[in-house]
Amino acid sequence: MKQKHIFLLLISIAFHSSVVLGQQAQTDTIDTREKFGLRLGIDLTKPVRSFIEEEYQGLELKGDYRLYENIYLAGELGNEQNVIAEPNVTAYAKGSYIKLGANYNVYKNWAGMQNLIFVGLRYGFATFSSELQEFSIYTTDPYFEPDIRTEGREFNNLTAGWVELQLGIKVEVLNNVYLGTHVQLKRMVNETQPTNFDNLYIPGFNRTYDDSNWGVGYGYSISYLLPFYKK
Amino acid sequence: MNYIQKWLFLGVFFFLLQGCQKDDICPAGTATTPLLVIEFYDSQNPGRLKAVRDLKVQASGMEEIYFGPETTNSISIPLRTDQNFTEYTFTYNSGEEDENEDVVTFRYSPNPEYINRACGFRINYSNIDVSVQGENDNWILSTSILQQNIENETEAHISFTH
Repeated sequence: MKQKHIFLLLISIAFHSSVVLGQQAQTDTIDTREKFGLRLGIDLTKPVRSFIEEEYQGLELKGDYRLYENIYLAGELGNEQNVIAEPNVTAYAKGSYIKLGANYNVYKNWAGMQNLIFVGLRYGFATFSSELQEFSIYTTDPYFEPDIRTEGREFNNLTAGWVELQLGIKVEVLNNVYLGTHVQLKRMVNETQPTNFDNLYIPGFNRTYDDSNWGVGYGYSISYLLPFYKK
Repeated sequence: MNYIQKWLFLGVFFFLLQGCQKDDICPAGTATTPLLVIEFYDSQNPGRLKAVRDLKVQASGMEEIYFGPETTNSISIPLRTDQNFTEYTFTYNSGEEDENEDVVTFRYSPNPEYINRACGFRINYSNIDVSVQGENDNWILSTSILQQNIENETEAHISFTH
């Protein structure tokens, strides 16, 4: 009995970490400081749509700058053209837009990771022109043959402004390279109304809806972070 | 968590690729291109509506009969939207031995007006004018224009007496 206790004591001492030779105090080599800098990228959906859809062309550059821990100044700059073909109206629109605002990161990252789940707010502004390419005279009486007009009518110097809410994520897939996706909900604030017509498509805003000032959109992006400093 | 985010990313990607665009359909009941409303009055008593016996209405150049033969005291007819006149034949007592055809020409300015993206455009007619061809043996004795501009179908635009 006595021998057994002595044996246990010796084993305990032998395996005690402070006695084990070769064991050295390790410092954590992962840098937990976060990068602050400018992230620049492009929207991926617009070049893909330009390739797939014959009548669509678009490009969007985007960027954000990390201002505080969770707040990023953010903006987009783009150019789009598209044809909206409805059963009774076909119209073409093209123009440029800018969106400025901020993103707020709501995601609490693990140490060393810098992904985002963000809520963004923007003011968007577009200048564009449109052309009514074809329209038909709507009548509930089919006695006479349909009256379809193809004379074009152009509308220039159109502008529109809107407030946009974005919800999205950005994931760092490689060092400083981010893939992102987001959805957009927007509400028109002001728009130039063409004489005896309407804006069916607004670059940056996307298509409009009858009797509604709301619009929706989405995007996928790839971007690169230029780190300025770490904190 | 990173794993979940990547799957979420993929999921949202494919959901949005499906696209969910609402079709724009012109709702029934929308005020579209109006019909011309004509009322028939008694020539003896011009304040009183008088039905036309077995009225048949057909536009010139059309094989299809638009209306009738049917007895009625008012009728709504479409006007050509792509021209500034429409010619109709109004037949009284159609199919009877004493049937009587009058050719009536309506002249007007058709003005396109935008409704919305689903319905497209409608036509409003302004400065309508009406004339009955021929001097003798017309069953339509007189015409009068009640409304110069045709923008809805709530009231008669033209009256004929017979």
